[in-house]
Amino acid sequence: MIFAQHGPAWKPKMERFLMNKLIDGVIWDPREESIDRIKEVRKSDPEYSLIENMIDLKVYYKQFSSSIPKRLSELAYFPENDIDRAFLRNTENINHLVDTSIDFQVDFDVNVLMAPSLYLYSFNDRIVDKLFDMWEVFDDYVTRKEISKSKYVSIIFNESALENKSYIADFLDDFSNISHKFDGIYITIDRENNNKHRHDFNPNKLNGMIQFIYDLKNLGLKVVIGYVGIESVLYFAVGADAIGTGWFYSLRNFNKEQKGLEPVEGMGRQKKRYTSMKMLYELAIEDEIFSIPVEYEDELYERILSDCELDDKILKGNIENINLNDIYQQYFEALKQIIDDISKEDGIENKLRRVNELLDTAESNIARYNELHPLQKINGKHIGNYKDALGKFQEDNFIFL
Amino acid sequence: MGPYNITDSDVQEVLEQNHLVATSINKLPKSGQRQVFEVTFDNGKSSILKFVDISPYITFQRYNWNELSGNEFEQERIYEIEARSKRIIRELKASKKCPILPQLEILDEHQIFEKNEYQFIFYFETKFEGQTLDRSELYQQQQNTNTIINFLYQMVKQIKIMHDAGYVHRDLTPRNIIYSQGQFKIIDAGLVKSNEEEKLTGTRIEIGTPYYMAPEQAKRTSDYSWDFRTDLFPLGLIAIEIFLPKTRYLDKEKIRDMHYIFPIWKSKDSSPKSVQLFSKIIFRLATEQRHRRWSNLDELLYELENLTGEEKK
Repeated sequence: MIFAQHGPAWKPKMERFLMNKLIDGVIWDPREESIDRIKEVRKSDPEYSLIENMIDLKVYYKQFSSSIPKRLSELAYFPENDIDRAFLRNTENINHLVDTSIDFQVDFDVNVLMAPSLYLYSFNDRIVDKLFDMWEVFDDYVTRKEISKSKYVSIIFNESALENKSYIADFLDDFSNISHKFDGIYITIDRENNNKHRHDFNPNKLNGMIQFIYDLKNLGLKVVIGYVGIESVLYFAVGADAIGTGWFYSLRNFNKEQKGLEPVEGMGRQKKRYTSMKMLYELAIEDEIFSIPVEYEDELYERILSDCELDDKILKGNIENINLNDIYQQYFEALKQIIDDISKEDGIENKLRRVNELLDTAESNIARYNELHPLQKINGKHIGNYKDALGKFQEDNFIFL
Repeated sequence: MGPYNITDSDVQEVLEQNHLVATSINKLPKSGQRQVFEVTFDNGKSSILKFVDISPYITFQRYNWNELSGNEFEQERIYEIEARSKRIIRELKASKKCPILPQLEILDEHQIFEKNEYQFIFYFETKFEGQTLDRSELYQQQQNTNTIINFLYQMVKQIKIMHDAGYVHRDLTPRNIIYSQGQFKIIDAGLVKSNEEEKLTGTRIEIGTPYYMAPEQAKRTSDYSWDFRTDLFPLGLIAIEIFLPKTRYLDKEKIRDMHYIFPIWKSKDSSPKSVQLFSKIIFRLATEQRHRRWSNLDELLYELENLTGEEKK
């Protein structure tokens, strides 16, 4: 399932996605928009009640004293004081945070109740125990309030936390004592900001992530990963149930600087990109598609275009004719086709087989592109990294295709 | 003060105390701390009589070394007997709640047998036909995947019954499983634990048979949340031992290294069913990481049923 990751300039985009049935839900961001405004829009458009609605509470903004909480400060559950160890030591604080965040979500009429999350730099962070305590309080309150909605825990961690497998194992071992109390988990990875390649992922950390998802699935949880992009095909390969993704790159990749947790530099002008699931790559339309030599257009278009509404406009070749909302829709369309395909596959072996095929196809399509269009090469190193991560996962878990 | 061996005349004394008449008394091999007798009564029925030594050996030793005064000796003696009794009383309590474990019979409760300074808890227990797995013919012969699936299916069902009753065994070994004519049965609930019980073991004391015990048993504190996953670990190891006899002589590190075991497994039987049994079941039983073991016994049973079904197809 694909959930729209709520973000700036959301209304027309959501309407378009809903109209075209491209999303299965929305992960609302109360930092970006006033709750009254969201409620008003939801009330006026019945389509919103046909999909899943959940909220990313973003309590962790209070762990960063210089963060920019925007509209979060207006919300009753959002703590006034910084969340530090002194805050977490006080049981009253935890109880109040959990209690008010549940009431807030019930009032917002979510389908899934989310426990507050804390930002972890590492899975052996000193606050992990406090996070577990908070989740148990959450379970207790939901039970006491007799709310019959699904209960999800939520977690946000730095990408570097995925490197230490033994810390992850200890975290999961402890979590497995209480995991049966919950229906699912919502995960956000704070991606490092040092990679110029928008789809790349260090294979060791990516392996840590897919193993993490697989282990959580084996604990019987539904797994939703927020702020992700094309790499999410790997998450679905190991059983993820849903992802949150959005129109802007900043909604496909969470980075704490860009997200106002820490100071940020301005972002550049947005390029119009075509999401090719045949290459697992977002090609800049002008630079990487319209520049293809005429004699290779037929072959390379076949290797790029992913059977989306936008394809006609691409074939016509006029960039002015393509607006940003077209490309946002195309991204969701392309991703949804593949994700629905993978999700339909029965059993992990079939899902993995399907994703391995996708990776092979992408690899050969990128290689052929680079061969025929040597002036505008596509950097396909991410495919190699995806393959490495997936290969190691299969080996570690004795999964034979 | 050395250990005391119960004699036939001691058994006779115990029987007379309880107005019981035996036609034969047969001493069986010791089972851990227990001295075991098979007693046949005049109605032809046999029962297992077990004596568990709860004698205060340490107190006597300290007294002999003049570490204790007369008053202290008596206090310490009572304390040590109580401490030694706790585990066995817990086992008997668990047996009552858990129908798959051996049940008390003949006498409703355990009793105490005193012989000079020695003390024993004794009780009668249902006799199971068969031999312990390690002595059984099944263990001595080559086995195929069907036997392994059958073994696992029966054992998981029993673990589920224990789990439903709120207990974890924590000491499954080939010596604690009886085998007879295709049937496997868990015996000896010596380390069964319910999470509701008081903490009977001190912090960081190892509990279980080291070779088979799950890693968390070696390092966890007494307030650890035990669940059935701790019992799944030895099950995986025992299944490997049944299928691959030569792994019985491996050291502890090697038998737990699934990447070492898998090539041996595959070299014996590389059929899809065998590989699937290893990858889907065995690995997720014998993995050292508890959170990677099966967390849902119904799903595990379903997967085992599917593997049985594969054969029928």
